[in-house]
Amino acid sequence: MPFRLFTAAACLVVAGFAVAREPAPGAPEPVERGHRLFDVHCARCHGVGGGGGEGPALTRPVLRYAPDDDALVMVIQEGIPRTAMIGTFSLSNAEARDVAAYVRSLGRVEQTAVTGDAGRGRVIYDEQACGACHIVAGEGRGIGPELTAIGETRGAEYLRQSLVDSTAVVAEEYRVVTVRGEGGETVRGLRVNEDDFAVLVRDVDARLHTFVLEGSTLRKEMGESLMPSYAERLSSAEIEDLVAYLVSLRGAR
Amino acid sequence: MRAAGVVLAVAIAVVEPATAQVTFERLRSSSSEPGNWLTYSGSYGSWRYTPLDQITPANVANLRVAWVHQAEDPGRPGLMETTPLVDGGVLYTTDPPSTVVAIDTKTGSKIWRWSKRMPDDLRSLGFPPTNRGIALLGDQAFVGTMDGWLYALDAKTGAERWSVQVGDNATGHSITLAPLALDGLVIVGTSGGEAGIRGFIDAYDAETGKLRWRFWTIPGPGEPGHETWTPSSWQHGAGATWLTGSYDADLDLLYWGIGNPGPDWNGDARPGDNLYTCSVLAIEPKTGKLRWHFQFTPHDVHDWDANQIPILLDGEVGGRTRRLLATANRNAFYYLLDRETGEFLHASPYAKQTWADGIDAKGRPKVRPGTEPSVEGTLVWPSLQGATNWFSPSYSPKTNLFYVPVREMGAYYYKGEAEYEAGSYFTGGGERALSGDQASGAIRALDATTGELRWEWKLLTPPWSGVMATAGGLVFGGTQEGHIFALDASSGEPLWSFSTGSPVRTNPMSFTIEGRQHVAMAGGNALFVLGLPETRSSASTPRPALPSSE
Repeated sequence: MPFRLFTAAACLVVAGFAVAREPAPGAPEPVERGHRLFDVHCARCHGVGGGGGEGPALTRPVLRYAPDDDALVMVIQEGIPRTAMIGTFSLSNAEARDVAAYVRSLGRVEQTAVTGDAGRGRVIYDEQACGACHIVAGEGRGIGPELTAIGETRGAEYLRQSLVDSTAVVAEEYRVVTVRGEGGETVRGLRVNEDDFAVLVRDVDARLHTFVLEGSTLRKEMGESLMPSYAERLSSAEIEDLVAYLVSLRGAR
Repeated sequence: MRAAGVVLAVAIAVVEPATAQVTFERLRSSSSEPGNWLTYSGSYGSWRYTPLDQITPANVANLRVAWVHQAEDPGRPGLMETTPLVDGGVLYTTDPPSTVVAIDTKTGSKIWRWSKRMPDDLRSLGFPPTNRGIALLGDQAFVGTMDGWLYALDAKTGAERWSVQVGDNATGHSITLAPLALDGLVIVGTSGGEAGIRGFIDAYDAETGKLRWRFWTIPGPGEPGHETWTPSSWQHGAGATWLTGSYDADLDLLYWGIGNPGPDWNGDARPGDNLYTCSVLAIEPKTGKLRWHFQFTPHDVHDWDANQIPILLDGEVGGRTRRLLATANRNAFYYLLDRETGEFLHASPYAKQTWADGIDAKGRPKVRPGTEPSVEGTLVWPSLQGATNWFSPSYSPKTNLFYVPVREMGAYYYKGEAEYEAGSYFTGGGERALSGDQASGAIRALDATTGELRWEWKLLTPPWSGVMATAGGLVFGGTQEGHIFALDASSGEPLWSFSTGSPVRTNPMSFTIEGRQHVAMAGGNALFVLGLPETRSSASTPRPALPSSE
């Protein structure tokens, strides 16, 4: 039932979308159709309701890669190159438009505001030397994920969790492994790649090590990240400031 | 070069089975000509097993690429999930979305290519555009298309003989399966389980394309099983028939797996068992009459369809030898049925599952309360993709093992509203699957007549490719990370692997080129044909110097 209530509210705010086509009497509105399709195709990354998760939150009026509705339809169908956003091969043009209508409706729903102060967050970012591992607009070192546009690709909740418990949300390519080779040598670092026969590890000095699994014992420290937890180092207000700063990073510092 | 070609042709005529009509007799005794691969699953019993034994645990490490077939740009995204057929030195493969290519096995050179241009508004509801292969019968090749048609092609030239519309793509019908050719008949099913179709199995006259019978998988008013639906739910009850069935020529019975009910994840509007969804049917191919049915998952709400390839084998269960139907169902249980009567004999889990407290004596699952999809999300194993999926299992009579690629993955199932609209998703929810290191895969070897696990080889991620056992003592398969691999069929020990550079989403098959065993499997949109390097001792027939890469 919450689905139905929410849909009704969403329809009100995007009534303009229904003007473009004349739906058959009794047929669901585009936003409602788009909502159903979104649950099937998009929610696993963008979260049910578009609140974000592994993928960014879509509950905002401006989407970086989709300045207008045509661009949004194209992103839905074709994906975004060099990102985890894949195109949906199975949606028709009309269905992609329905999903776009639903996504736009999310941007018009009032969101829980990010409560921190982005300016203070930037100061904290520098004080904590986050740039020792991360790059923002060319500044810093890059063994950790680049953050130049992190506000576009991750939701606030995900970023908050990264700060207080990074092991819970560490991305696949930033998993830490320890591999012991046949000669007894041990390398600890980021798991650059792994398949059923080999593992590639980048150590903290950015050197790449290749292990063929036969003869090597691979110890996967699952869930462990090189990213320290800031739950004890920062107050909750400071964490909110840092989250606000990270959310504000949309491509340039 | 010209002279060499002439000599070569002579040499081949000696070594390869002579190209002839693919008769029903040849199809039913396909194991007697292991140099060819004449049906999707290699035999009517769907063992996906080759009697060829030249590639062994001792020499598999020497496998190398003989040639590669690359799909031409299909013009739209799609996936290569094909199993090629081979007859008389010609390999017939399919590219996505609906293209057939005939290739000379000696050289990898194309003989002909047939392709159907798909409409711009092609419906592909719930699956990527793909084609899993053709069927051969007589001098014809049969292929289904994404837009819901069946074509008969001249196997020598690719010229169209006849075509028939099986289902309307505008309402979500597509054909992705390889048809099954029987005695004068071509059997096909349809996709559309997420589009609220009413599923069916069709039999067409192989010579004329005329529809001989249609079996509706959702019984209509007055038919047995109709009472398992409500008056308003059966018309869009789904029950798609999207994978190839098996056939017992002695019993003259066709076995076909039936898909999920619609809407997938919201069963409120369809109370009841929803026959014949999530079932296997035994059908008399001459009449289309149902002999028996067995339902694995009554009133399914997780999209655990029962389309997986049924394997027909004979074995001792309960103290006597029986004709068995063995299947690893998407719902994570391995089942044995008596394929003469449909009697339930055995079920045991082969993967993690959290939805049932076992299966009762009649074969009905004891469903745990609270495992149905919910608005908040319900975490259940397996995921909606199932503990296994479309990719094929394999059976080896040498080991009596049933090999199955397993997906160890849970998912949060969400329930949503569903309202039927022609040609749209009719699913009523969705899922968020656990991913990354929360999910994994395995190749498992089960004792075929008890279901007991004999060995497993773990995979980093859940696979999307099938397996083939060989008389040489190997099991071939593929990984999402792009490897084709060979395991020891008795122990599961990995013996060889090859990186194709793109996820492997096909089933392996095997055949001979000039009498030498080869294995074909695709990685990405390229089909790799692999064989042992030719040595003097392996060259049993005098042969001209080939302008080959070896």
